[in-house]
Amino acid sequence: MVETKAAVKELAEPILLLRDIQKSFGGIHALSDISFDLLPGEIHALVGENGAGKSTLIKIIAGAYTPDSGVIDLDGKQYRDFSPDQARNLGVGIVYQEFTLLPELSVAENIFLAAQPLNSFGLINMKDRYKEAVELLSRLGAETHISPNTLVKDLTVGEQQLVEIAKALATDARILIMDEPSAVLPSNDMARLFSVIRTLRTEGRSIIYISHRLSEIFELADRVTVLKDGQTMATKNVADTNHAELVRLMVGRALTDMYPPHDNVIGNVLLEVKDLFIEGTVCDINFQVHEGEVLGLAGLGGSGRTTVARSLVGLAKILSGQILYLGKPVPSTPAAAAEEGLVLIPEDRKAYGLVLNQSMRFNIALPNLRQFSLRGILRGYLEKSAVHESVDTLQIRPAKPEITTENLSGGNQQKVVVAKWLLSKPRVVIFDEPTRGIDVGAKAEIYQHIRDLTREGLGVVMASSDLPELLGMSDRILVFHEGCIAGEVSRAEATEERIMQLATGIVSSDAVA
Amino acid sequence: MNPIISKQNTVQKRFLEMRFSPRMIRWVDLAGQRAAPIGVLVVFLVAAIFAPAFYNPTNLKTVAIQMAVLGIVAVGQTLVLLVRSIDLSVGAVLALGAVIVVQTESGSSIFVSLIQAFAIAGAIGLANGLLITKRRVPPFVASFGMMWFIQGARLAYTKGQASGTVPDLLRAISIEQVGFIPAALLVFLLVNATVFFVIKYTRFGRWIYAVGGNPSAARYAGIKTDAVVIVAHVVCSVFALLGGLVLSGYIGYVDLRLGTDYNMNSIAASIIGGTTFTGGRGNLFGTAAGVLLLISLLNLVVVLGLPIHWQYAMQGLVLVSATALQGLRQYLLSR
Amino acid sequence: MVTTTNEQIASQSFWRKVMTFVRNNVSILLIYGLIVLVGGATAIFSENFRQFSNLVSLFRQSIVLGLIAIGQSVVVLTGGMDMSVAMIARIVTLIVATIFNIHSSDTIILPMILLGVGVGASIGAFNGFLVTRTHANPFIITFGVASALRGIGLAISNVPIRGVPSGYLSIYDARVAGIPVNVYAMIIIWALAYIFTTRTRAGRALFAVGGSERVARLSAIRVNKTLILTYVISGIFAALAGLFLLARTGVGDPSAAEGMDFQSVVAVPLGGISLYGGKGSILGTLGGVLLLGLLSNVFNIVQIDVYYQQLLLGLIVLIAVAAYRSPRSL
Repeated sequence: MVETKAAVKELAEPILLLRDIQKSFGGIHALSDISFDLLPGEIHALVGENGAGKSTLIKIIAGAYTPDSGVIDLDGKQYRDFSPDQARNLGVGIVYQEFTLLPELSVAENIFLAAQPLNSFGLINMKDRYKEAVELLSRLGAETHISPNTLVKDLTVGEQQLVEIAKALATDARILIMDEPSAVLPSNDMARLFSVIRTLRTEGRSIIYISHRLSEIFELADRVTVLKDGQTMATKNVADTNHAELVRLMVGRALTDMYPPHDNVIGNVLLEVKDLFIEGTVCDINFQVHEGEVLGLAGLGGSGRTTVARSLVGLAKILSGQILYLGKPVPSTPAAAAEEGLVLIPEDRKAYGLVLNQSMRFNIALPNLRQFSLRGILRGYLEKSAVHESVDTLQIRPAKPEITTENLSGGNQQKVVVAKWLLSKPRVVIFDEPTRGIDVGAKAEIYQHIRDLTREGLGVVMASSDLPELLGMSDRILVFHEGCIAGEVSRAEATEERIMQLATGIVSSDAVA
Repeated sequence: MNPIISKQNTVQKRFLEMRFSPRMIRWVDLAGQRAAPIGVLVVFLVAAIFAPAFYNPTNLKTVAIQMAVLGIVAVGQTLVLLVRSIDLSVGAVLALGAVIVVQTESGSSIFVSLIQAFAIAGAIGLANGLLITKRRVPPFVASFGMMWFIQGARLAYTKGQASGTVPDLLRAISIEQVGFIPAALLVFLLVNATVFFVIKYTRFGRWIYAVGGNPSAARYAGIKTDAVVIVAHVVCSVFALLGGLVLSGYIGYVDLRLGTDYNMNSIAASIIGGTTFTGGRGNLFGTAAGVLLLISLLNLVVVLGLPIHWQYAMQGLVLVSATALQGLRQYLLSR
Repeated sequence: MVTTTNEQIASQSFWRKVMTFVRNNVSILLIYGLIVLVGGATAIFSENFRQFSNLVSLFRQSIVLGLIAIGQSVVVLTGGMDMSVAMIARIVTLIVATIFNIHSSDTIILPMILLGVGVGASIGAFNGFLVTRTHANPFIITFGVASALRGIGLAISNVPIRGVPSGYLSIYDARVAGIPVNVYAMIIIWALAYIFTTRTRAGRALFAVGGSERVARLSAIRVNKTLILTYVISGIFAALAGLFLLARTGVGDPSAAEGMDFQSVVAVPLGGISLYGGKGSILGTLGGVLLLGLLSNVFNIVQIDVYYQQLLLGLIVLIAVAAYRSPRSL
């Protein structure tokens, strides 16, 4: 039976209104002039690429961040900022991607953690708590599956998510924000989640629903707001739009000329992926990486793009299929792979790439110490000259190798990570989000270095959620969607729209001619 | 329509900003780094003014030897702290070592007993390291359980009686003088020089700082983090044993109450010297300065003729201040 | 999605419920199982053990550790540790004994008890402030405080202090129906501790703070206040232990409570409270305390060499520690 979407009451007063919201973090604009409104009893989707500002926006609504300027209008009263406690008291509930549950405590206790019901002696009333928990869970249709006395750690992820929602309901949230709820759910729990959300709507609550799976938006939401680069692009009734239009609103930027010319020559196959099946993929993955080429990997969160990139250096368990490097299977650890000439520049450079409290020289030398030792003893001059050369080549600034890496800018920190792995003379370099959190100037320099690498005959794989970067640098782009390669786009035919369409799972009937 | 600005938020913000201004953070960081040397200077100055007997050659020899003993143990503790671990069994190993050598020398050759002693120390360090890395036991729980076990073993072995004479070899490495310098100090310097060399000129030295500074990044870079931690623990136990041997040589007999203070003092000395609990930060000079500070402070208390309870009070005060300072420094630096 | 009928759910869930109960309460079951095992075995083989007086003595010997362990449990539940408990007990013993020495009379007994508790609470509050304001490692910093207290204790006296009024001694001696009053008192205290940690908001807040400070803060729990409170509670119980020791020995003993800090830190994880905080039960600690007392008692009855006792205890601790698994996977 087809679910009829609730008619949007255009004349109704919005329950939440955001105007001219600005938010910057250390000079980087996360949000500029955002406007957003939410009607009572609607499911309002929020879409946009990674970094478009969705997370920041919902955190402002939930009181976790304070806007630099602008007004939040809740129930007719205006606020400049409020704390998470205040937001909760005013009826805003949020279900983060990272759950805020205590695994060792029971479901009932977690739900009422902020305010456990008491009896006349001032002790926690276990009976009432149990009853109220059952009541909340039954509103979510979960009372038969989840017992309030079960410990949260004994629940499945889907069930834990329902407990999180119950937590929000316990404070009688009239506005419920859900941050990519489907990202952690197996597909059979999705139907349940949707019916829960629809039930909440019939109770007159409003739901802000973030997802990058556009099919969900069309199935569930009443209206949708598109954010791009920190700005509101449009707010539309779902019934009045389609997949292709949303994609066009989400992307569509003019390509700047930060990118070096494509004068690289493509040679032999260095890396070959055959019928690969790992955790995080659904279809068999096949592709090749050649000398001198930049292979881009695109795809939204959960599409398998990052997992496949990491598997190339042995960081994912291969369930079936092969990854061949120079004809032989890839080593099983990143360190061993690096010795063979296959390196990964990880996404989170602070966690995996650098020892922050040590100098540049320490970090650059760390995996290459054997090169600098003669008969087991480190030779300072060998190390220093190699490090100096690296710093020079990659234009790391300030050009003082003794500086502690944590005092460097993001761009220079990334260069240190690149430098350290380049010293091991790789033949294939895999970048996972090469320019995340890096300023424009450093980005251009990194792109130049990548081009230099390809000129020397190295193969480069670039997994990124930055579409312009993929378009500017790649010779070919593989687009991932839901664990499969949705398509391969050559440089000639690549546009942001085309990539995003493939990444969001467009079906040909949705496409606009 | 008046915007309702949340007063609570802005007041709180201002308060937090006030407390942790960048200038204050820099001050705390410097204080953390320089606390030990400055403290030493202060103590020596106070001694010069109020207790010149401190500079008496016999007293200085005492200070030097005590510093050597604690210093040897503290070097091991520093290594362990550098890899984000801790070793609370050093005191017990220290005492155990002295007992074993003294007791067995009557039966077999001293060199055999020494080898046995060092082997046992190594085994203890290995056990600590394995518990911590392979069984994921929190470091102080593991080493602390080990301490109980060792103390029990020692009691069982000695049946509560200290006996045996201290072999001449031990006296030789401790109390005998080479010129003006007591042998113990030479041992201490040798230990420091060796460890310093390893840290500066070998790959292993780099690995220690990498594993302590960021274990994930270290693993990514190909370092076998578990092995590094285990080796650190083995070295720590071996040094603790060595300290115990030097101490026996100094005292001249075996005291069953030996060792309880060395746990906390070795940790305190390292902390004062700038080593953190979170790993990856610290150096031998700082630890040596911390050792000197503690020992000279305790000695000053004795020279000044203050009753013994001042010693404990001083120890406690230094420990609390050092830990508080370093804790604050760590916290501020990580924000 | 597979649907199961309510009946099926009910029947399979009984067995699953049993399994999850066992899984979630392994430590408690283990420790009491051990107590039953060891106690039962000794009872079968030893006449002396079975004596009523021995059992009473067993409980009484556990009171000091028991009191300290309650306070320690509260601190450990939040992920901290208090190594100053032994010295707090000692200081309280000495201070109260000194005052009794000056003015030995039954009338000041109650005020002295209050004073002792006050001293314990103040030192606890000091510890709490240190830990929360400087973010220092609780283990080390409370150890430092302990060192300082040890010095102060020695300054007060290094010989036993006499002068405790007879009325005070009755705290230890008084019996009702042949069982010392203090055993009844301990039962009540443990019951209250259990109720506190399972049925009060403040008690549950301990688990929240120990489980995840981030989540606790998001749930409107005052983390700093809770942490300071735990050290105050620990100080108070340590003080009570000190007061009890004074009644037991009748003199202010300058070496009172030696080693009780480490023993409490052993009893707590033995009973299943994770040293990382956030999980466990105070009943488990009770089991840990009883087991340690039982072992001591059994060792004496079976006449195991004193020197082997610590070795055995240490071995048990090591085994417990090796079997101990970090609750958070990396």
